[in-house]
Amino acid sequence: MTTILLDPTAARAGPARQRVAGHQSLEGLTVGLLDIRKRQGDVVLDHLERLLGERGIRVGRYAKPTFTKPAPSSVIDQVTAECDAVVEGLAD
Amino acid sequence: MLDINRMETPAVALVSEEFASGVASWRDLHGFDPAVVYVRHPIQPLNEAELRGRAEDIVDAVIGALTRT
Amino acid sequence: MSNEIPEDGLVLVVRENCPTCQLIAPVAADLEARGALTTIYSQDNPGFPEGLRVRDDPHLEVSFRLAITIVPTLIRFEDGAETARAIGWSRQEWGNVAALDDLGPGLPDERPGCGSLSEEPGWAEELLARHGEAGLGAETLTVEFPEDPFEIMDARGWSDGLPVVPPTPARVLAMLNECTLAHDHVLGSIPPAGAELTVEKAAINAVMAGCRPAYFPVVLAALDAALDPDFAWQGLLSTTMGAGVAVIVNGPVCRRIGLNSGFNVLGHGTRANATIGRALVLIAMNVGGARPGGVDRSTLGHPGKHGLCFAEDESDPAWQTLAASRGIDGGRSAVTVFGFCGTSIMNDETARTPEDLVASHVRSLEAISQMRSSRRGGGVLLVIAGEFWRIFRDSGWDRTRIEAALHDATAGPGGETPMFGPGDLLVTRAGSHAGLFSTIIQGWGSGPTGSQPVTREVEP
Repeated sequence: MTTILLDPTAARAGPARQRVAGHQSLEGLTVGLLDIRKRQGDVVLDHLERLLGERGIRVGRYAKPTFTKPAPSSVIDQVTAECDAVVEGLAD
Repeated sequence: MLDINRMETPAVALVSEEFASGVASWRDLHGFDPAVVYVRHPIQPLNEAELRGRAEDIVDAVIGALTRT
Repeated sequence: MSNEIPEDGLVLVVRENCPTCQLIAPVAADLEARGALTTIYSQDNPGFPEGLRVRDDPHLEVSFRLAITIVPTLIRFEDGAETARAIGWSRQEWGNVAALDDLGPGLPDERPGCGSLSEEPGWAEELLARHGEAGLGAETLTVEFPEDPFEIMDARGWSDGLPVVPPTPARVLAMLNECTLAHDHVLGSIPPAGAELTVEKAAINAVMAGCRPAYFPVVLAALDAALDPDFAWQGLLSTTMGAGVAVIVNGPVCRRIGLNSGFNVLGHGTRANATIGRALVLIAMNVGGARPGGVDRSTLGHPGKHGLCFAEDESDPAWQTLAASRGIDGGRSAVTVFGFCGTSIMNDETARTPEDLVASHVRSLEAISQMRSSRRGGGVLLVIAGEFWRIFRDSGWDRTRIEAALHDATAGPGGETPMFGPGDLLVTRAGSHAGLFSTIIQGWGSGPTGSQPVTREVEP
């Protein structure tokens, strides 16, 4: 006896996407800190901002409206337009 | 992370080390391997000094992740 | 015996369990005696019509290939092509097909036939899947005996832990027949993976969940609601808090598909309730990739994560239905989805007045708000059962008044944060009519920054 089953899973993501390369150095560049709005994440980012500043790196601060939903494209557009690199967090 | 990468901007995600398996699943689902710096768990119940410690723990790794070529 | 359809001559398809076929049996015998009849196919008994050379079509393949809808059907073939067909019994039509004008002299002139077995539910989809152009796009997996499809599906991680119904092409086609959308129509991008959810993938998972085809329009409406960004399904599927999707259904579809609104309404015992909610869970897992320990980070989860679906009790016209309160015209079927993290039973055996009930409900809601790190932030779906409703109704209270009283009493008079923002408290009626209970279904994060309930009409 033969049973034919139809696959219930999604066709998986297409070809793997390449991660963009990092910078040679962050000196003189601006790093955006994107707060995803989990509790206490902003405090860690506050300290990270200070520590990066001590190393001569400019920092911009951004936030998703809520951790429950993906960042709206307006936030992504703004942080990528104003910054050379992004730190997103803190997921826990 | 995908949408920031799509804008050609290097990015790193700060993730609790408890979520490593979640990152692995996400990577498989999306076909994209994000730069991740893991933060020692827990985070939510920590006091100010402990949170500063977490930031000090990761700052070099964050810079490293954004300058890796 | 070969089932090759003859290239020339007369072909008759019958079944014994059909009075019209019984009626025309002497005509078949007459045609055969005259050498005019090439082949008779019987759908149910190769011994009928008795004494004739009958070919068996037990798997109805010939009936399918000949597109038989009614028996008896008489067809003329010339050079491999059909040139004439008579459906049911008509002396004139049979005469034309057979080129004979004196058939069935003792019979009435006409008699309608019976439905072909190949058109019966179950058979129709099976035949289309086996021999036709089913138009299904999913990858297939062939399981040969003695391998067990149930074990294969489990090993592939296609299940929520309970056995799933094998999604055979015939079952999936039967599900798809219940909607007018194309198989490859994309319902949306399903979180967390962001994969495209097609109607066909939804149907496959609905079959696996145990849904009957008639439930599929409810599943589709619930998916449409859950995919609304306001519902924040991605957040619900990945949160450590462990959130599930409750589906509350209103309207005539509930009776049509046997959806329970009474005894044990939030528990087990009814197929529609058990499987519609489960279909959403399987879709989130199989299409969205939301597997526990993977993207689903639930620390504990809760039993409702297996799925929760129930009908609102609409038996009392004094009660404005949940769907009506959310803008759906009366008499139309609709679903409302609500993200939730557990349920608590609330009992008050001493209450005599609506005010008593409001007071005891507020105590319970306050207690539940104490279980979270913030007073505000989790919405509530309050399910009021029969006896509590009677106390409210007998004093002339309706939905609006109950909701307003609970809002006011939890508004935080001592300068505290109000427990509920606008739209964070939903009230519904369900459960049996005996027992002084309601159930508080605890939301996840509410309001615009959390998961908001979403209502969608069920396509008729």
